[in-house]
Amino acid sequence: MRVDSGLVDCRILVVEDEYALAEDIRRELIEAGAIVVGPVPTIHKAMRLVEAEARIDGAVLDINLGGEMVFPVAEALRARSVPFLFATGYDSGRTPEAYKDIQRIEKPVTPGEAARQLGRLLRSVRA
Amino acid sequence: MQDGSEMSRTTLGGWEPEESRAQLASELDAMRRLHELTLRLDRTADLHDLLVQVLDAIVALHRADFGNIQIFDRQRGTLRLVAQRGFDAAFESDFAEIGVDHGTSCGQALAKGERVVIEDVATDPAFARFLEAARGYGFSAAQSTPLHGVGGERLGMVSTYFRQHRAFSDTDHRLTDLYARQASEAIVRYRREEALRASQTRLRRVIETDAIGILFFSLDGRLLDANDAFLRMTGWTREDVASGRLGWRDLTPPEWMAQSEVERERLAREGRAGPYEKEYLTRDGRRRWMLFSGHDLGDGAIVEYALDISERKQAEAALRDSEARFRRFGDASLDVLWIRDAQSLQWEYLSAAFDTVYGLELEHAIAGNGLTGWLELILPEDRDLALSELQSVALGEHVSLEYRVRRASDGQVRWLRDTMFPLVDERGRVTRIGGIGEDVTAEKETAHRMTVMIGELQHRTRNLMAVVRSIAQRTARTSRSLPDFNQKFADRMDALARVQSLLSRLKESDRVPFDELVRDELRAQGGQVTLDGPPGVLLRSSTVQILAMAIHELATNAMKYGALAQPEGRLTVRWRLEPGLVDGRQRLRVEWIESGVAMPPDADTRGGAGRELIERALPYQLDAETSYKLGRDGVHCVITLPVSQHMPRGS
Repeated sequence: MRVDSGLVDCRILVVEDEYALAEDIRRELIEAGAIVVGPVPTIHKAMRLVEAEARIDGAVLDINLGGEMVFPVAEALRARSVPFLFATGYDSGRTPEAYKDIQRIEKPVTPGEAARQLGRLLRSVRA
Repeated sequence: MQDGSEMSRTTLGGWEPEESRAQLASELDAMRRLHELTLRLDRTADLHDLLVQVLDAIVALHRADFGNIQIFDRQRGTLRLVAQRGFDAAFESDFAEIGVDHGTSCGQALAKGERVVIEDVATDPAFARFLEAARGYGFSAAQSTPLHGVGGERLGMVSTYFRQHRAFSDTDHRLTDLYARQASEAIVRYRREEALRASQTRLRRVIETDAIGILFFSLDGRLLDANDAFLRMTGWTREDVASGRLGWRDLTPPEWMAQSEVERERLAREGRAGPYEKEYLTRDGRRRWMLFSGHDLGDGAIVEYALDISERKQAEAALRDSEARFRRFGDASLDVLWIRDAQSLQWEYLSAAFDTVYGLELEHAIAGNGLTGWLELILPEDRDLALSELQSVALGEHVSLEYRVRRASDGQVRWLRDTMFPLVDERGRVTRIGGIGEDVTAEKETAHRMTVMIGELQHRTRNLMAVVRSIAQRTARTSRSLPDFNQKFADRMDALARVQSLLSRLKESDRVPFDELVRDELRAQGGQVTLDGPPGVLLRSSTVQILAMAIHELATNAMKYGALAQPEGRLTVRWRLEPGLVDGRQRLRVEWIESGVAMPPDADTRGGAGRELIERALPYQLDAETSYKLGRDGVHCVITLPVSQHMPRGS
């Protein structure tokens, strides 16, 4: 009997520029029952997805995408009230004030951690 | 003098020729004595001697028994005793000073301003107080004749006293007056001469002053005389001066000639010159700075006063030097050195760096309001703090403060670190504020860049660790045993380490050329490998790691099962730059062609990790186009990826 991941049938956007990490997160999200949107490695591609997808339930965003900051994507998701979390190699001191309240998972991400944290986030939003 | 008056009266009676002859002889004698007195008085230099001689002459004229002479004290309005004849020391002290209210003959004469004759002291009521004294000295008659100047001013008194009653004839009075007139003139002359002597003494003392040189010139500029002070200052001797051959031109250095001429002309025109400063030649050819002031004495001579100001000039020069040194020092500094008045807070000094740091012309800033002008340049949010800190320094505190200014010249915001300190006078009061303002913008930017770089390093490290973990997981999934895992994992870590070291050698703007990456991976391989492509095709830094890993997987497979595992196998790596078809950006096309390979039957199932990297990771991460085919005699792989926009080095 599997514990409810909170992600079953949820459409989760993954933005991560490193292929290997994107694959890891994709894999664990799928294992948790989620439907993965992406993953995509750039802001440009992420924005196109956000615009194109009718439904996104949550997202995992890498902050630094090959030197570009992911914040425009975060802004677009906020505008649609989509909950998301950051995966980052930075200290929390480096995130702008506007995103201080966004939950973060720190790289290197423990396997399963992204799915666990995001599942908890989505459950708390639904509750 | 009962007898004398009798005699005098009888002269008017008989015996006339006899009497007239005797009187004539007596008058002649008196005139002769008067003449002698006059001659003596002319030769007498001392007032006391002079008065004594007058006294003696009148005592003799009157054939008196006693006499005294007094001089008028203008300040006190009294008569002071100068000399007496026939009295004693007690008299000298008792009658040392006589006022107008004194009843004696001289006191009465002083009060009246004319001669007083007391023929019998016993019958004169005014004399009553002195009757006892008169009896003591033994005189019974007295006369006092005032000594007047031509204008009537009181000079003194000459008095004679007689044991007997005494009457005076007109002739007596006339002769007495002639004597008195001589005495008066002598006193006046003496006083005038004395005043002149005093004034000359004063003048001589003035000229003998140590501090000021005094020179006398003829109108044509010859030195007539000079005081000792001038000789000491310049080393010229009295003989030099006395020779008459020295003139102002001999004493003036050539370059001062023109200005001296101007002053001379002014002197001729206006009667005075200076004060002006110039250098003067000493006897041994050295120079002294002097301050001159001259005027025309109106008697054919010019006087000049000379003050030696060499020391002051040296001090001034030293001060100017020190000032100039300080300014050069200040202007050499890249920091803004400044001094403000502690009261007005206005700038008194600004060093040259002000121009660059504040972007405002220094002269302009000094001339304007140094407080509000400064505050206006400071960003509004830093302004209050800057002002309050400045004020606390005026109260004696030391402060180091950072604030931002908007540079006037280009509007750039600059960070300043200003170290401010009070400057106190000898009584410890803060009179000025000093400061050193350092432009720390670059320092701040560096600090900021460092923070960014540390962040970037953190990002890369953590990403790398995530990649390592991912490689470990993947390797584990495809390993048959732990030794197999160890081998594969160590291999991949080596490849990752190689590319990291390649990246870490780079400076910020450097790029890794593709040929270096390939050579690094295939270094150990010999004649089976052909590398064919231009050197120096620069890769984007973000592409290097994953591209290197892909090449590593290709090489590993080739060495294990492919071209490099079989003696007949050949590997050609060919690369070319291609113009971008879609976005116009150059792309690098890399072909990995293995040939002469006897393909194993299970070739399809091997090298899965490499295939995934090439077919999925490169397109995902690098926006690359890839193909991976197993041909009949080897792997054929094509990777086309965007490269750095930088031109290849050396092309």
